[in-house]
Amino acid sequence: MDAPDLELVRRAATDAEAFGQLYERHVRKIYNYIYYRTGDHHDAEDLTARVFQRALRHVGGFQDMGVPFSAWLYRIAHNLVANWHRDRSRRPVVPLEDHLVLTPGSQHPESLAMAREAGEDLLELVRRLPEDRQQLLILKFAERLSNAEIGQIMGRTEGAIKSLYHRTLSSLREEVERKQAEGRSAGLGEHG
Amino acid sequence: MNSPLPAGWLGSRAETTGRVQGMAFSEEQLEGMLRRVLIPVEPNPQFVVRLRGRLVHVRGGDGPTLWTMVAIGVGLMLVVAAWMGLALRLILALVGAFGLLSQRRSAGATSRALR
Repeated sequence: MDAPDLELVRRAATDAEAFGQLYERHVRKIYNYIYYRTGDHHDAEDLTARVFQRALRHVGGFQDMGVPFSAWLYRIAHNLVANWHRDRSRRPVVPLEDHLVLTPGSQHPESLAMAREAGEDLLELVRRLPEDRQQLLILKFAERLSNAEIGQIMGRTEGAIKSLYHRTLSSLREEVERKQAEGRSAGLGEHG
Repeated sequence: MNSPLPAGWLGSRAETTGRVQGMAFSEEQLEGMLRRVLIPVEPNPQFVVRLRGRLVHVRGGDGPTLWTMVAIGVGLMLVVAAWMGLALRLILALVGAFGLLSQRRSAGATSRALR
C-alpha cells in the first residue's frame, strides 16, 4: 500500500525519494491547474518547476493543520501564478487547438470549427472572471475536485464555495447570453 | 471577439426543445459546456522525468539560496582581507630589506672614506 501524503511529507525533509513520491502524485494536477491559469505550456512547465522547488525548500516546515498537502501545493501554485500575472500584466491565451474536446456527432469539418470557436469563446469568458472564480472553475472542472476539497485549497467553507460557484455560473451564463446577443446583432448588421 | 457561441454546441436540449438560437439556457447546460472545455491536460512526460531528476538528485536545482550567497560573500571578503594582510606584510618586509641594504652600503662608504 502507498504511504499517505503526511507520512511522506514527514520523511521528505531528509529523504529525497519520499519527496519524489509526493512529486509523482501531484505534479500532473498542479501542472493542469497552472496551465489553465497561464494558458501556455512553457509557462506552466516553468511555474510547475518553481512550485515543487519551493515545496522542497519548505517541506520541512509543513505542519499538519488538517489541510492536505495537495492544498498546500495549490496555494503555492496560486501565489506563483498571481505573481506571474502581476509581473507580465497580460491576459493569458489558451491554445485551445491543443486539447479542446469536441461534442460527439460533430464530425463535420464545419461543426468541428464551430465547436472549437465556441470553446474558445467560452474560455475567453472564463478568463475574464475574477481570479477566485477562475480558480474555482478550474479546480471543479479541470481538476474534478469536490466543493470540500476546493474549500480547503481556497481557505473557505464548503458552503461558501457552493455559493460562490452558483454566483459564478450565474454571471457566466449572463455573459454567454450577452455574447450571443452581440453575435446575433452583428450577424443581422452584416446581412441587413 | 466577434464569434458567437453556436446553438448546436449549447447541448441537445436547446435543439430538441426548439428554442431559438441564443435564447436562455440552464445552469446544467453551462456546466456541460464547461466540462467539455476545461478538460484535464497532461504535461510533457519528458518534463515530468527531468524535473523529478532535478528535485530528487540535485535537491532543488534552484540555484543558491540567500544564506548561501551571504556565506559565499563573507567568505570571499575574508579571503581578500587575508591576501591583503599578506601582501602588506610582504611589502613591509621588502621595504625593510631595502632599508637594511642601503644602511649597510652607506655604512661601508663612510668607513672607506674615514680610512
